[in-house]
Amino acid sequence: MTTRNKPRIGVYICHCGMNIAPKVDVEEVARYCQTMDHVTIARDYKFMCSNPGQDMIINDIKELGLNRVVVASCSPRMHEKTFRNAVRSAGLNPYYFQMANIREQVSWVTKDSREATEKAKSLVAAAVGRVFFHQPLDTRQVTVTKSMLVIGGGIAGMQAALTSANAGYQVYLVEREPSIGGHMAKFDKTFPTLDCAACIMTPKMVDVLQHPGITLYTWSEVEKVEGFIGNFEVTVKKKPRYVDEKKCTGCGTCMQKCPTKKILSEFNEGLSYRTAIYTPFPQAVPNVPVIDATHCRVLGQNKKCGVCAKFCETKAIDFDQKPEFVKIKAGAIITATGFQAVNPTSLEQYGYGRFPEVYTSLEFERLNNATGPTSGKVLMKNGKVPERVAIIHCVGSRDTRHKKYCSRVCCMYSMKFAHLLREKTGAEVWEFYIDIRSPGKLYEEFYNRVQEEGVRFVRGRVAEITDMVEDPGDNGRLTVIAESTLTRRTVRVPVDMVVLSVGLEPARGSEDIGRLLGLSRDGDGWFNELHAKLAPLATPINGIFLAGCCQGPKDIPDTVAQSMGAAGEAIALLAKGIVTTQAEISRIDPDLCSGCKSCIESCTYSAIRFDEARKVAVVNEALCMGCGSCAAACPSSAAGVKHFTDKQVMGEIEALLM
Amino acid sequence: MKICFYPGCSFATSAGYRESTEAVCRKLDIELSQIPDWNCCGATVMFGENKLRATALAARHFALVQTMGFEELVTGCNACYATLRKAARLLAADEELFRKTRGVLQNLGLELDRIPKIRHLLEVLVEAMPDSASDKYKTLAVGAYYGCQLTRPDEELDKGEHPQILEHFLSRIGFSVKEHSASTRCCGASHAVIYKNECQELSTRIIREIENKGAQVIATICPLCQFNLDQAQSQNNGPGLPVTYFTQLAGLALGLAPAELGLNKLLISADKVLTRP
Repeated sequence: MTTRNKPRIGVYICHCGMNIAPKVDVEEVARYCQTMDHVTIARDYKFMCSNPGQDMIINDIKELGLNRVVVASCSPRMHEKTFRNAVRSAGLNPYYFQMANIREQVSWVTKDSREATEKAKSLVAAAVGRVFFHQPLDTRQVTVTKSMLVIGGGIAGMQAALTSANAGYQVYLVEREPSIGGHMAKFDKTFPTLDCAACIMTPKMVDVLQHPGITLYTWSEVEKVEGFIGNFEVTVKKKPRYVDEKKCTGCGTCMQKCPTKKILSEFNEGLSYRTAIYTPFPQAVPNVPVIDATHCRVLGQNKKCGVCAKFCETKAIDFDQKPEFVKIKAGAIITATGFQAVNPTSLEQYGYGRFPEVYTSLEFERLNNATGPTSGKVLMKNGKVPERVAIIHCVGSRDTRHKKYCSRVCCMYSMKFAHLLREKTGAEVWEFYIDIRSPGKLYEEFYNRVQEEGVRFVRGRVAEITDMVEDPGDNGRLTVIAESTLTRRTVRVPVDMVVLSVGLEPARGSEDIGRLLGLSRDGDGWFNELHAKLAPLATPINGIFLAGCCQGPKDIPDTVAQSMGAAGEAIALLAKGIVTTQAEISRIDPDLCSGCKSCIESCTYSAIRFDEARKVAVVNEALCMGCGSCAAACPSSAAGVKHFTDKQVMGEIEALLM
Repeated sequence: MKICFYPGCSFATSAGYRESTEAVCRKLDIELSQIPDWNCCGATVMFGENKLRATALAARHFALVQTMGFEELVTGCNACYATLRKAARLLAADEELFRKTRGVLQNLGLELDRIPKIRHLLEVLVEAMPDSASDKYKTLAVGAYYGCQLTRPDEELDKGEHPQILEHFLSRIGFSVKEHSASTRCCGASHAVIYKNECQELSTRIIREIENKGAQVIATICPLCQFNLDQAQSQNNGPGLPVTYFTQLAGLALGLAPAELGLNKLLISADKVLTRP
């Protein structure tokens, strides 16, 4: 190391307001650092990330001739970029910077102040020990593929696709069901404005289908995701529909003629039947049926049938269809995999599955819907109109034994049900709630409105729903038993019908999607956003964004707003057209490489190729993600990851253990 | 098979529970090794009085089980079952309590090193009873009644609110089971002595529900439940549903005679429903 390049390190200890300073004696840490070798200056400051904080670093670099910088503050995930930029703006290579996390890893988690200060000292010393060995690194810029993938065709995915396609980008929308539309397509009215869901939904579905910028893959699933931000390569599996989409006219004759008619309809929540060749609902998009291979006589039972094929005038039925795999290039990915309703069977005190007149909210949506099993009439299984209905809030939600979180939608949709019941049947409606949560535009007003409509509200979690009666006149009815916590009395209300307002959980299969994309999930299974407040639509994987309920429960207005936001993030990335690749990537020293190819086998990104002429392995810098697998696999220490050299890591450890 | 049996205070004097349990176990080759010099489990009241005394009262049996060389303790009473389990749970979670309880037992000359697994007699018979070979009772409609303490609070044996273990058992050994919604409702337990009228109402509600759903006989698994439901109808003020022990029905299924099973001791006679053509 030449004299000119002799390390002159500046160390900056952040108070982070009241986050670090009251626990860690920051002044003592600064004094301690001042005594360390090669440390030119050590300071503490209230907010290092603020403008004056950054200026302090920039000025010191210029005036004191610093050539290395250490900031001890929060997690690098929070502000590493901020400080690297500050270092760069002072004319220094941004990789001459190292961060020590004394907030998440020290002040927030250490009880004893003395201990916290000592721990902070060690971590800062380690950062100093490491930054000593830092090397300048360069990033490169690669072009971005101007198309994107949207996973999930509910309202979130549809909206994200439309917004992006309207901005002029090619969108590939993948939906695993036979039709797009998701849960919203099942709803009748939407709170609080009581818009008809179909009226606002079906035109959007048609827009998606007809938009020249959107390529729609229904009955398809994402099989494989490779590449990185700006350059994802995705394999989509088109499941066999057994109906040729190009030939089918959607006339529906096949569905009328199919002899297998007693299959419970998923779309109608099992309240009606469908045929083996089917579209989930009449307004399905695309209006092309699929054959349910399990129930089809030809495909599932090896019987002679083929009635659908006989009647199809365009010869669109193809029993020999095989799965098809399509390769897509995408610059960005929007995940919109949504939710599923909690199955209330395990809350046995509510008798779901035992008592026919206990419905889930989704079943009730279908019962209310003009395209539902009763054509929108609210009828009991015996065909009669209910005279008294109980709606139970928070079923499976806000309960440490089930889902501990609030579903954010059940108060409002329960009150929507109450309104519809009053309007359609005149039935007496009892709402049993814990708290009413109506924090949205016009939501509280809606709450007031349904109260004025004569809906009764009982504050209390329902203990039990039973068919045991007190009065023989109530035989055949259900009794809802709850403590009214406002009157401190037990109430027993005989009713004809009960609606369980069930909570929300991540959609089936979101674990698999998470694994494919490398997304992490929180304790309840929802995808983690990059930052709860400042990056709610981004994920820790660059170039992958979140829209709708896959990130956590939310209602339709929030979902649509978030989807447009996610589209905006993706559009920003695509519009810029270039991304800066990371500098921390693998490097294989050709002088040390023995040509054994171990690294090539270990690389999950296919980023290493073999140079036959020189007989050495070569890293493709555009594909390398810097995971370090090759460095671990290399028997001759030829492969290593830049910014994680042995010297740097050992320097860090040595200082830590001093 | 040999099991370590803890009868509890009500077992011997209840209406045929002892007779039927002994007869069925004999038939199934199950030897009941009764805990010698057993005492009251303390029931639910003792824990309200003094935690250490309540735990020690129950834990004395754990020490005796250990002396006898058994790993498990079987009881036929829901209150004993719940109380012993509560003591076991507390001892497992609280080292201090365990140490103190050991001290109390050492003064009595007993050693406590391990806590036995506590099981209900129902579990034992569920495992030991063969499937029904006859259809003699297949039209006899039985309503299963658990009382409140078998599966609550810990749900280890079955689901808390709507268990099915007894229903499955009864139908497997040849009875017709009638589903109803009172199977885990409280009968009033020992309050029946002090709050007679209130508890009469609780029991009547249960019986009425079981009758409403079409059962001709009730199967119980706990002495106090049996007594409360039986006596609630004894002044001709109920539908007259015989209230049997599950062991008595198991005995019938095994072809034993009603007298051998103490069925003559029921307040509401079961003769009529059992002797139907």
